[in-house]
Amino acid sequence: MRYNPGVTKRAQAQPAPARSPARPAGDGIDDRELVARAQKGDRVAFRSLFERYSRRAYSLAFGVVRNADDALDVVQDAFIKAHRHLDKFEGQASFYTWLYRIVMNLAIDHLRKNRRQKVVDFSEGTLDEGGLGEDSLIPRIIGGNPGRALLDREIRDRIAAALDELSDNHRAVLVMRELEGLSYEEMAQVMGCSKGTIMSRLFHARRNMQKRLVDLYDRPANLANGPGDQPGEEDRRGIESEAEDPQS
Amino acid sequence: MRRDMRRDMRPDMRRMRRVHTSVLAIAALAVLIGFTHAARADVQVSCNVVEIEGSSSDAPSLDPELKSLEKKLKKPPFSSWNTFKRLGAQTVTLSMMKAASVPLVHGKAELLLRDVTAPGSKKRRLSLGLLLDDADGKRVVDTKVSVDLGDWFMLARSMKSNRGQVVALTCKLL
Amino acid sequence: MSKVTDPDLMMLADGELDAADASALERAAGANGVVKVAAVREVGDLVRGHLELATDEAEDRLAGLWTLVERRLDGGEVEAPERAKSDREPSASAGGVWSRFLRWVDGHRGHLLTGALSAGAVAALAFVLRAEPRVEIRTVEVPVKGSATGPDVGSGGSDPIVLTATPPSIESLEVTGGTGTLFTIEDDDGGSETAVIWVTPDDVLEGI
Repeated sequence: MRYNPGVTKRAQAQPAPARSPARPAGDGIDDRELVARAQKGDRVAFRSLFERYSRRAYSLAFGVVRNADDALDVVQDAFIKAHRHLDKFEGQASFYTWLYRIVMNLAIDHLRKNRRQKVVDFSEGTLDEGGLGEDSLIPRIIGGNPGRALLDREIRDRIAAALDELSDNHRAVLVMRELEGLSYEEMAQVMGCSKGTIMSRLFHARRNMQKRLVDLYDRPANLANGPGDQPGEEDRRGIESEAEDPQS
Repeated sequence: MRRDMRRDMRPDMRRMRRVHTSVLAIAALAVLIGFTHAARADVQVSCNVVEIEGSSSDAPSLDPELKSLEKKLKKPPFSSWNTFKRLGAQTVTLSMMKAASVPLVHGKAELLLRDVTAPGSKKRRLSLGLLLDDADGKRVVDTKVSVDLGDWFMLARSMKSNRGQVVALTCKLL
Repeated sequence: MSKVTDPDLMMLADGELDAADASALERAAGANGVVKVAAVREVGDLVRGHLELATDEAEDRLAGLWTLVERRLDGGEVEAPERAKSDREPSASAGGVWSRFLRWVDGHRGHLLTGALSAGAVAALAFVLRAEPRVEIRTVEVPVKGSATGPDVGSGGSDPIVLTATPPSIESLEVTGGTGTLFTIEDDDGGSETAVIWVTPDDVLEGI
């Protein structure tokens, strides 16, 4: 298993660390150089870009469309589209930034084409200053090492199911945030909406994920951590805490 | 004798009646099929063309004048937007094979009535040609559609900043 | 500091606050606030981990994806997956009008008047015989007019005949610089469908 908690640390002010796949031996070429060569018709250069970013593009696509076959189609279409429009790439942002926008657009388009039952709610709004009443974050964590938690098949399936149940917009922002480490402002630009709408969607996405995983919070720490692991100080506080936040 | 003759004739008469009915049915069928393909030159339809702008915003809303389309706009593929504004509505009279231009806020549409089928039946069907150009005059869509009179048909396209244009139309016979 | 809200804690977890505001919020957050921040981050870790593992599982298929991309770049066709045929698709087999009519009758015997055909029913059948468009068949109760000789048709009674509503169809579609997708929205009353042609331009990216 390649899951490495050290790599998948949460994004903070910095963008998410690049998780490029291994480059071909001797390939220390900058993306800009590869793009410039590909724009001149160098297929090998474009293939290098594909090999660098297809995995990351797949993670993003799969996070949104939730189906492996469809995610592969999205990735394939994204690279075709990127190749077709390479002449329009101006180089002001990185190639991957440009590529993931294509991936996101195609993934969201794919959902649009395939979802038949989803009905929009005109009452979806933004977070207001006054808080969200009963719809607040749960002050609990599963605790321990998330990597170990994911070794548990049941927990993995629960997370997958919880993601599946999110609305498309909620899931898209959550995946963008957690995989790409985009700021609220950047996500607002990608999705063509306001920062407030992004915050609302992200908040509801996380709250809904928590709701669907709430029974996992009540498990004894050793199930999540595995024998020999001890929960940290922060984890113990989460496990022992019982009252909802009275809002200090 | 007469009774015997009638008895003898009954199977023949039933057979003849069946043949007669079948012939009638086939004839009626042929006439109707002929009708379904006939286009009457004097037919005119009146089409209501509504231009809508869709977007996502902080305050989801639906223009009150779009109430009749609310249920459709809440469903995919429109459900990625949450704000719908009616940009304009026009009534256009279409005559057979005469194009009519419809100016829009975000471009222009051209409609052509190509055919009206089954004029004698309850539900008539229109064959329409539709062209849509964007605000720069660039052709976006060229399509030919068949739709029942009274039903809605919509053309939608994504624009920048997650906005979109929807051109919705419904026609009735004049 | 004013009251700490959950959105504030979310912004803290996401690094959206400047250093001074972040410190002030951490001090004001309280025990539950700190756990909530940890919870937000934990959800992120779990989502990332899940997606990484899912991508691991697709590694083999991703490795073969370049072949498909290259084929398309070279102008070759990639086989589309076989689509399941709709049960309502009209038979494409050859045959005259009459044989198609008989096949249709066999398939929908339960919906038809037995005995002779009324004028209304003949009109309905005429729609069915066309190869396009796809025809929706509904059985409704309406009075039967005109002569009828079949034993099941009573005079002046209300008998079921077949009516048809025809969904919209696209005869041709050309989209310049983009892709067109056809949707149909079924109305809630099931009485009609609205066709939507959705155009996605190839270039929806703003200059970056």
